[in-house]
Amino acid sequence: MTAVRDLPNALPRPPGEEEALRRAWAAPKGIKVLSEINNSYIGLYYVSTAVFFFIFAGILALLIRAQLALPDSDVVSPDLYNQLFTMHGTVMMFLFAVPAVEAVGVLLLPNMLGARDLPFPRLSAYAFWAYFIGGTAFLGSLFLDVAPRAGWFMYPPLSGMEFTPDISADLWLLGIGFIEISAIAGAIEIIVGVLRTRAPGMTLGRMPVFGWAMLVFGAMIVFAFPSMIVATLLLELERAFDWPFFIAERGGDSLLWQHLFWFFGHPEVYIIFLPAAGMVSMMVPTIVRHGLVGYRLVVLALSATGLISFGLWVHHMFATGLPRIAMAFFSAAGMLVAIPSGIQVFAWIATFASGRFRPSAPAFFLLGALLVFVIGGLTGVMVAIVPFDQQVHDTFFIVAHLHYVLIGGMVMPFLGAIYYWTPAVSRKALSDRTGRIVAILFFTGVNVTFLPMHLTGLVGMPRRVYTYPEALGWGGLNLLSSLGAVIIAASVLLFLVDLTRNFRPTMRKTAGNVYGAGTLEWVATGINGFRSIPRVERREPLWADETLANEIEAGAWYLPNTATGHRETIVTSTVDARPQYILTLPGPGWSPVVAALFTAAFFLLLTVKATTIAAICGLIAVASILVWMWGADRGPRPAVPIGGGINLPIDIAGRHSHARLGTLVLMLVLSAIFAGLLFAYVYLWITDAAWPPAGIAPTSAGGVAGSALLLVAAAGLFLAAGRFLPRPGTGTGVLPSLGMGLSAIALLAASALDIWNLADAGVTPSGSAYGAAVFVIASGQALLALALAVVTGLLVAKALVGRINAERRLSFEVGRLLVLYAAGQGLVALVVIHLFPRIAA
Amino acid sequence: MTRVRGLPAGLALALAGCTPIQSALDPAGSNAGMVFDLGVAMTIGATLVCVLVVVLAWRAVRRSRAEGAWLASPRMVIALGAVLPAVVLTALLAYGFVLDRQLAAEEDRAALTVRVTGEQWWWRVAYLAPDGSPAFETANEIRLPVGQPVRFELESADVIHSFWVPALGGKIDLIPGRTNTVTLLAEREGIYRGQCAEFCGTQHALMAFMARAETPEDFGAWFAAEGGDARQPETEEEVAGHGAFVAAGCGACHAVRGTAAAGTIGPDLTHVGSRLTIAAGTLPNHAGTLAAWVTDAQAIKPGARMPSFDELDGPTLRSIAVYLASLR
Amino acid sequence: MLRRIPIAGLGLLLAVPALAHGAATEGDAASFDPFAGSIIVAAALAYGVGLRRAANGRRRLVPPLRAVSFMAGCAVFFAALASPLHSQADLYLAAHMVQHIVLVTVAPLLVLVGRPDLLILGVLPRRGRSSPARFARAALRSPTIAAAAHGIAIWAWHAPPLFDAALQNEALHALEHFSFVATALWFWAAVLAATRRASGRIEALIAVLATLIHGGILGALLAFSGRPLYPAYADEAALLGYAPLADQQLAGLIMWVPGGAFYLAVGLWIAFRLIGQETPPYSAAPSGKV
Repeated sequence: MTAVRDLPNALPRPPGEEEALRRAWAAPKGIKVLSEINNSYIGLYYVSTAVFFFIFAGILALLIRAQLALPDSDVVSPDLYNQLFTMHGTVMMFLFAVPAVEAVGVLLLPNMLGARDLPFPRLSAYAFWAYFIGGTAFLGSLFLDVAPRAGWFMYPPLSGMEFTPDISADLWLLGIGFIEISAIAGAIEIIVGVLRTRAPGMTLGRMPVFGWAMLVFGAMIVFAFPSMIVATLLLELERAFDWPFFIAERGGDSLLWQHLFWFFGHPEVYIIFLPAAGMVSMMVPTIVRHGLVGYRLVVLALSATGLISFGLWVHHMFATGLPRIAMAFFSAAGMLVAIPSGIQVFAWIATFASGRFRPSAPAFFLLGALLVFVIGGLTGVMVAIVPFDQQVHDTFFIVAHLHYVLIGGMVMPFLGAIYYWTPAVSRKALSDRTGRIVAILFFTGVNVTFLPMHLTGLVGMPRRVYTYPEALGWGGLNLLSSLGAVIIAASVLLFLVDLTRNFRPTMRKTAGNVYGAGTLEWVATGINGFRSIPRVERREPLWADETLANEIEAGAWYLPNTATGHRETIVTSTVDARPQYILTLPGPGWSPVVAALFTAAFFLLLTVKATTIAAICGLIAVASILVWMWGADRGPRPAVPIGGGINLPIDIAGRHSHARLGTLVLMLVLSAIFAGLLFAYVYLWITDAAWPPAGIAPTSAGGVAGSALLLVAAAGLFLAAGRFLPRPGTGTGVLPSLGMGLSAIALLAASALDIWNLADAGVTPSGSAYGAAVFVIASGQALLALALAVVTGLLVAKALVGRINAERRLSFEVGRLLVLYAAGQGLVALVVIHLFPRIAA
Repeated sequence: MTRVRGLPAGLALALAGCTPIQSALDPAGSNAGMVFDLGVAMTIGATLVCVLVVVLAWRAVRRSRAEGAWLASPRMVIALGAVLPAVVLTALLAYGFVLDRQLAAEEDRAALTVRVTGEQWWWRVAYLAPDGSPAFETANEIRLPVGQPVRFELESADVIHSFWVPALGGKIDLIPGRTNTVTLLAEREGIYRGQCAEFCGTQHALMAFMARAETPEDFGAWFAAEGGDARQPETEEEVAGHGAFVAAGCGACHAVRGTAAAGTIGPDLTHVGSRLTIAAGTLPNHAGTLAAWVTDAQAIKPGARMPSFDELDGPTLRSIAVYLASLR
Repeated sequence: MLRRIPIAGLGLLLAVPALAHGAATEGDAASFDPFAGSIIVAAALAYGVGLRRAANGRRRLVPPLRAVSFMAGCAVFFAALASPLHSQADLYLAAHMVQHIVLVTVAPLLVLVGRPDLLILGVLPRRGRSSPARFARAALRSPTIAAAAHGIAIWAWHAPPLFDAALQNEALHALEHFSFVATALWFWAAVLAATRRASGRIEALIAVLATLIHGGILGALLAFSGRPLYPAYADEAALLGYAPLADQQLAGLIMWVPGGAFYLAVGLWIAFRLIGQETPPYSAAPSGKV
């Protein structure tokens, strides 16, 4: 089997090479381990926190089931019950499901893809700490009786100031908005990581399915989450400053919230499901020791699900009184999504049929998940039929359906994945025997709880009721469901016992490849990254080549050393994974932790209206981000050999830079947010013909032209600054600094002039929905200009001390892209705000 | 906190000889009936698909290492994963479309229009005259003639609610600033319980109502009587109760047509005595529960707009309850 | 050598929709427009001549199926612009929407699959060294910029004042259709060209996805609007006795769902290309049952 071949680097390796590599990757000791940003550490913190939130939200579910077990029950008060189900849904969706799959991605992706780490480790660290601190504080609200209580969907007007005057809704909006930002940060990291840090030779067609799933996951977050950010922003503005986006009497519309919320909320289901499906597609081949059947079909199905899900948001609004003519269209669109799900399910069955099935705890979880997910999918088809949905919508039938989908589609695969991948990060594997019992108990509990709920809903029980009269005959079914919940709780308890007994996280001596998998995350290196980075020729490299793992560990493959003394990984081309350059990675540091802590403090203090302290916290957060940005961009260095005759440059700027890709993704996020604001504007216009309302004068054309000129000038000045960057070592960058500085001022001035122009015309944000919609676009632009002024300030400082020059220009290029984007967005905003009312009037 | 909800609404009604139905599986309306048939067809289909998946998965696991076999081929993945669902779903879509046409046809025949306004946490009901103006107002109870489609105009006074009578048909939301409509046709006489189906705040669980389907003759008689003024108090206790009702300021929120009470904040009480339940389906309706509600509303339904008039002495309370019960 | 800008040579086709409206007179029920028709025929002829000329060489430049696709595309353009659909479009917004969808999706894509760029001489400088020329070429090849331009054209013309003005004024209407078709050809050409390069597929996919989403949102806005947005059609509706709101809802839904389905299909095709060649799944033992 072992072929004699030329390996890129001769063995044995020179003495000291491995020690230097280890030194670069060593994690700090003691409490300082919290400042470690390596993906293995952050990934473990991340998964553990997600499991903690899962258990917490599960306990809330038990309280809900306790209250509903008997009719006319009095276990909790109505108000507490409403907090319980709101928090259960919110925590499960926002603090467990999405972070959990993102966490598995952070933990496993680099190793699976043959990278030593993801490209922006500080960003994942920031994302994790923001999530950890924000999430924990959010949970705390339950103990202070200020927990949100308007449902996880927070529909206005119920969540508006008039009907929820306390801070519970603010807590939800700011807390969840903040956690969304964390999720987006993680998504940018994952997209760039999947596209640019794969091992040489790992073309997209050879990438593990989980990589594909996380790529689609990241892309979906980029398009979907901005909608949610816009929704939370608008509602918070309405609550805090009385901008009436959702108040019907003043031109607003409560359905605007539902459109924005479900434009995020429907893809959200697949954002949760797809990564878990990706995990299943990794585990099934190992269980039967046979490659996945229909790899291309499965990847295509993942992409199709992602694409289709953006057309389905109206599915949650069938009862809001849609045009009758629309029903057939929506039903058709909704059913379309069954096809890619069907393809995945049958691809797993075909793979099972292709190899030899060996029972194990993960296998038990997956078989159970398969059935649960199929049942959830079938009821999903049923509710896609509009007349049927109108009967079961907001009843326990939907509760049953969504739990089948999410438990079969995400929770059971996730638990299976914990059993499957624990040996890769722990000294001991979890007990396979216990795992099988957990799987059986969990499966039983889920079915006992949720199968009867279909019937509970059909016999008339709506969701989110804290009690029900005995005479309606729902008691027996509810008692059964509550018993099932106890079984689920027992299985989770057993799982926790297993974790406590056997989970011993380690980076040095892991239990190893106990299931005999074929992908790279099972190469045990004893270092927090690969000893050397292999060339990948097959989808399951370890199966195709049994000596590969040993060669990697011996340092026979690429980059067996540290070229710069820092942490490094190889950046490869997007599609065919040709090595392009060596990326140096930052080491441990506190700046992401501090930044996350103070961003969280900023948002939490805002909810209690402690604006001054909040502002101070915000400034500290910005300062620590600036500290971390100051150290970024070490500048390009000459090429070094990585073995096999390949020489790679270090840390390049320009088109092929991974940072450019990251910035482009960030621009997609920004434009999606902007599109959300424009949608709000147009949507409010179609619902309210008085646009602009009476009493508002036309804005000054001169003012508009002035703003437009300033925007163009901002773009031009920044572009010009790029031409005057000094050669390295030849003087300071006074001229480019001047250009950048003036550009930032022009950008700010354009916004200021525009806002003055609007105010001068008599537009007020709290006067009408029109004013609110206009001002939110204008202030969004102003906020962007302000953020870019801070960025530009950093760039100017860097240029003045010689940290930016004609060669060391990566951070300048990132800033330039963002400024160009901001100028473009500003021009579109001007057209919409000023031109549209003129022609529409 | 004391709970008075000892005798649930349903039980009391059952004792009175008529059981309210709140089940989509016991359809009494044309809409619910059609959806019921659809649901049965889909459940059978879903069960078959489920069995197919289980059988195939079982075979795949038991008879493994069958590479090259049909079950292990990408062709099977396409056939069962893509083609089969496409065919089944297209058929289902056609069914759903036909059903939708039938439901639409019913809408055009509706002659009677009822405007229902959702308020935290009760239902304002207005029967409209042919010219669209409200003929009279009532609350938390809707009567409709068997065999005749009735058009409901749904509005909200505060937050989003959802109007749902499972035995008659699907639900539609009541949204501030908008007017939604739904047409329901009861096919047999009976009492059908409806309930708010969109979470609307603290007492969302206790926002129910009764839909009573009657013969067109009975309905006509009720319609004629319901539009009239309230019955005058006759017994000494009723007269005292009326006085106490006025003195306690009940008229600031409640209307009793034909008296000085003309409040519009709370439910119209002109014929409250004839309703099956009070407090939006929370309690059965008799003098005892009426008294309990007046004196202890905040314990029965914490957060409701109705205050607890616990300062009223026993005889006054009793007279108010007797007076209200007499308003048939 | 043949990788020239695929947009090149389509100038002729661009003229078609613009002129279609110029010749059609209002209320012309038959609505056969000889001028638009003749331009489409001319484009097809030019393509055919190019095909013959190319066939003289040893390698076949354009496979027959692609040629069929080009001709089919011409036929669809013809059908959309010079058929009863065109006259219906003056009466019903929904019919107008069908016409627009066809003009920006099926027709240009079919035409471009025929690789007219290989056959009809380029109208743009092939080897300009000046920086504006390079910039123009880069912009023309960029799916992102093309998608942005196409998106702006679509959204701008659906603003009720512009849409209504186009209905009143035949020249404006021609300009409307011209900008739809021109940007659609640009968009699809850039997407197809990017898809041919392995490294361009992600950008192509994002461009298609973004168009899918914003087109769907525009359709949704039309479908959910509580009032008729285009007074001209409201007048037609009053005249012909149909419900203008239902017509508008149908138009929005056509744009949203079937229109979206088209972009979805193309997006999946790009994704399929992106995945690349599939290596056969790993198998531990020779095939056969145990």
